[in-house]
Parts: sequence; C-alpha cells; structure tokens
Amino acid sequence: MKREMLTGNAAAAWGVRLVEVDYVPVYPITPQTEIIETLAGWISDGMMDTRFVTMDSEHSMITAAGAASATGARAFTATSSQGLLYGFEMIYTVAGWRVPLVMVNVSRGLSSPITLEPDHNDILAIRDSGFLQIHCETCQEVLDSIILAYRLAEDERVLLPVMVNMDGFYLSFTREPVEIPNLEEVREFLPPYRPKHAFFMASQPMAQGVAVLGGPAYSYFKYQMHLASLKALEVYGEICAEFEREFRRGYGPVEGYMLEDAEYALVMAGSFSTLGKKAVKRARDKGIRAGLLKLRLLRPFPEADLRKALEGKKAVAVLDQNISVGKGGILYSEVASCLCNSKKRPVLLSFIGGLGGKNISPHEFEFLFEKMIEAFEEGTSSGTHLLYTEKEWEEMSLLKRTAENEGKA
Amino acid sequence: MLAGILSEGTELDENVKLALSVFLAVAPLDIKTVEAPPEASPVIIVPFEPAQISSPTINALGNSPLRMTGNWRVFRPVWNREVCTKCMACLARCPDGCISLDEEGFPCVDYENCKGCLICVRACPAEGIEKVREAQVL
Ligand code: SF4
Ligand code: SF4
Repeated sequence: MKREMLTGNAAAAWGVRLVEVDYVPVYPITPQTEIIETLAGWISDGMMDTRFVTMDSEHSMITAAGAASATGARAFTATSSQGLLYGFEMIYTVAGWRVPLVMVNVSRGLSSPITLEPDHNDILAIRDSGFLQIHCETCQEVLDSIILAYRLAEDERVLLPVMVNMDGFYLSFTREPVEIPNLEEVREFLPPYRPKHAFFMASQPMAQGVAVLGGPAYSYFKYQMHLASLKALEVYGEICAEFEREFRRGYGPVEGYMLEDAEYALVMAGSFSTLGKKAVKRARDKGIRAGLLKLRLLRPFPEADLRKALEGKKAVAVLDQNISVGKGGILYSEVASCLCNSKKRPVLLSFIGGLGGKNISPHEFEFLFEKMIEAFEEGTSSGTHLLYTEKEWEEMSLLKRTAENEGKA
Repeated sequence: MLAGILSEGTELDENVKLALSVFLAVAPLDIKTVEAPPEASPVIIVPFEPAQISSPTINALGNSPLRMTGNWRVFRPVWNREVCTKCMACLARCPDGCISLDEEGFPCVDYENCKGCLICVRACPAEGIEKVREAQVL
C-alpha cells in the first residue's frame, strides 16, 4: 500500500489498473479524458497488460465494452454527460445482456445551455436502465468503488453492469491523498472473472443473439433484472464487510453524518455532500440538531436503510443536484416514495442546488435548515425550492443586460 | 442508385397501380365483438432466478453463412473478364466478403450472399464491373 496525491480521474485509473482489466475501448470527453489518458500511458509503457482501442463514438465504445464483457473479458470504459447520452441506446442493451461491465461517469451538466461543470442529470438519465450506480464523494471512494463494482457486477447472483459516478472538476480534477492498495490484496479480494453464462473460446466461435419475444417473456426478463438489482443490495452488504476487513475502509449503501440523534436530516449525493457535512456541523454549533444522509448506492435504491435512518425525524430535506424539468428534484420523489407509507413519516422538503456546478454557500444551507424547522412547525411543506442567492441573481441580471445591449449593437 | 430506380417512370407507375389494386381489393366489413370469458389463472409472485437462467441470450455456433442474404439485391454486379486486371480492389472492398478468386485469379462472387451494395463497382479502377437489374416488375 502507498499513499499518493491523486485527482479523482487518476484514482479511477488506479482502480482500473488494480483490477487488471483485459479490454478498454475509449472515446474522449471533458472532464473524463484524464482517466483514459492515464490508462493509455500505462498500457503503452507496459505497466498494464490490457488491450486499448480508440473508438469512433461513445455508441460504439459502449457496444464494444459490453460485447467484450459478454465474451468473458473484464472490460472498462468511461464517459461523461453528452457522451453518455450519445451511447444511451447501448446502456439499456448492455444491461439486458446481464454482463458485468464497469464504467465510470464523470458527471457534467447536460446541454443546452452547454457547460462543463457537474450536476447529476447525466447519470440519472440512465437510472432505469439496469446499470447499478455508485456515487462517490472523495477520490479514495472512487478508487475503492471501482474494485467493489467489479466484485459486485461479477457476482453470479447479480451480473448487471455498474456505473461509478464522480462529479466533474470538483472531484475529477481535485487532488486528494489516496491510499493505493497492493495488487496482491486486490487479487485476493477480486478473483479472475470466470463466467458460466457468457463466454467465448477461440476454438469454438459462437454467435450471441438476444431473443425477440412477446409480452410474458419480455416481462420475465425485465423483472429478473429488477430482482437481480435488489439482490445486489444484499450482495453489496457482504462484499463491503469483506472489503472493510481487507482494506480497513467501509462503505455502506448510505452514509450517515451526525445522523443518529439528528432531528433535521439533509439528504445528498456526490462530492457536494462535503459542503453539506460542513453545514451540518455549523448548524449543530448553533444548536440545531442537524444530520446528513449521503446516498452512495442509487441503483439499487437502498430503501430499507433509508427508511431506517430517516423515520421519526422531524423533517427531511432532499437536496437534488439535478432537475426533472416539470417535476423537480429526482431524488426527492424517490426518498418520498419510500417514506410515504411510514407511520413515523417526517415532513419532507425538496431543494435543488449545485446545478451546472453552481456553488452552494453556507447561507443557502442556513436557509435550508430554517425552512426545515418552519416546515416541521407548520406540519407541511410544498413545492421545490432552487437554492440561488441575491448576488447570483444580480450577476445574472448584469449578463442579461449585456446580452440585450449586444443584441441592439 | 435510387435515382436509377425512380427514373424508370413507367415501371414506378405500374408498381403503384398494382399496390393500389391490392389495397382496394379489401372490401369494408362490419366488425362484430364477442365477449371472451376471462382466462382464470391466479396472479403469482415471480421468484428471483440467477442470470445463468434469466439472461435473454442465445449462444449458438455462428450461423451467418447459412443465412442467404443475396435476395436483398436490386442490382447485381457482373464482372467483365475482358477488362479485369486481377488487381483485387473489388475483393478488398466488398463489405460482406463475398468475393473470392477462382483458379485463374479472377474475382468471382457468391451471389447467395452478395447484397448488391455495388461498392465493388465503384472500387474497380478498370470499370470492369457492370450493374445489372435483378428483376423487372411489369
Ligand atoms: S455488390 Fe457489394 S456485396 Fe456484392 S460483391 Fe459487390 S461489394 Fe460485395
Ligand atoms: S477491381 Fe476490377 S480490375 Fe480489380 S480485380 Fe476487381 S474486377 Fe478486376
């Protein structure tokens, strides 16, 4: 084991190197490219025994990675934002093949308007595909999650692809101290992939076809994916316990921060949770019994853990770093659905923040906690609130005026 | 290519006429609905089955050579041995690998699988491949 200062992207590359992948088809996109550049460097220097292929698009790239997975190879690829959307068709297709492909998505807001900074609309677009989703807060979590992801995906009870998500810029380009495990330890934790249901032998060329079927068969296969995804929750628990024994770092499907005795709980995902934890700490200093629940697994959705952690709280605010246009926060709906039948249901509030990488200031968190207390006192809350400051509004007004003047000129 | 087909005006008209006559041959009819007794089968809870059973994949020996796709063709490529220089450009370009060489080194095509894309026609530097319409509908 060694400790190094790594960006999120470099940490991802290290994870991929340690699991000794066979095949990496790639296509560049900001802010993901550093991952494949790092891997390309290692492969050309002979430090990885991996086949690296540059593709013509993300659509071909995901097809190639999934097909390699179907032959029994351990495959990896990475993308972001528009790239993920460009390959979207194959995301559903590969998931349906029941192959253990692991991908990294470096979150970046979707066009239009175009931006490079993160929010989670890209990764949440594939929410219903069958890919499992692990959301990371730190660079260490990125490296560890990739190792965990292969173990989870390759488990015979699961056999679904996994997407490991990190936020562009905030994590992808931020260097943090990261422990890099020894190769031997990783090999012990993650044995070679020996599939029984999908394989390829050069001596016996096979064609893999996917059946075209009517309703009952289609329902059966789709529902089995759902059951396998739910099964992954149980498997994830086992694997994480083993990971913790081996590497001394543990990752539950959800992570609580000052949550147990909290009266007001904030729900977040991804690297912005760090800001949320800081805000919780400040609220505690002011005497508010605040806490935070970070969602690490978004698919399968850890309903039972969530219910156990949030039932009986006075109020729960979901801070979505995404927007379902015409509805509001996506995770809010998901959290609400697992609490709505609870007898000890807290008042639920919906906030949206950090869209396109917008910062969330201490004041915005203070506002959020005030609203939680108000909602508890009133016993209700309604609507979605965008976290946006007066200063940001003024800057935006200036931009609009500039645009108007430009238009006249 | 499409222009080649469409420019043959009378043929197009004949086809449209034929299609229309088939479409109009179906006389309007009254539809009677009959109440069917609902199927009595209890709703069950579908159990989990591992991917080895529940993945919708069929693995079989490759069978594409058994699948004759030559009947997709509108035009067939026809080689002119008088002009052919045996350069093999057509053989290299055929996206379906349908072209092989005969004993004399001339290209010969597997018409059972040739899709008539006519890439070989374009590829031939000697203009030694002609396109010939497969069938005429009249
Ligand atoms: S027409 Fe197309 S498929 Fe047929 S021989 Fe020529 S290149 Fe091959
Ligand atoms: S490209 Fe033309 S000249 Fe060359 S081998 Fe084919 S038919 Fe003959």
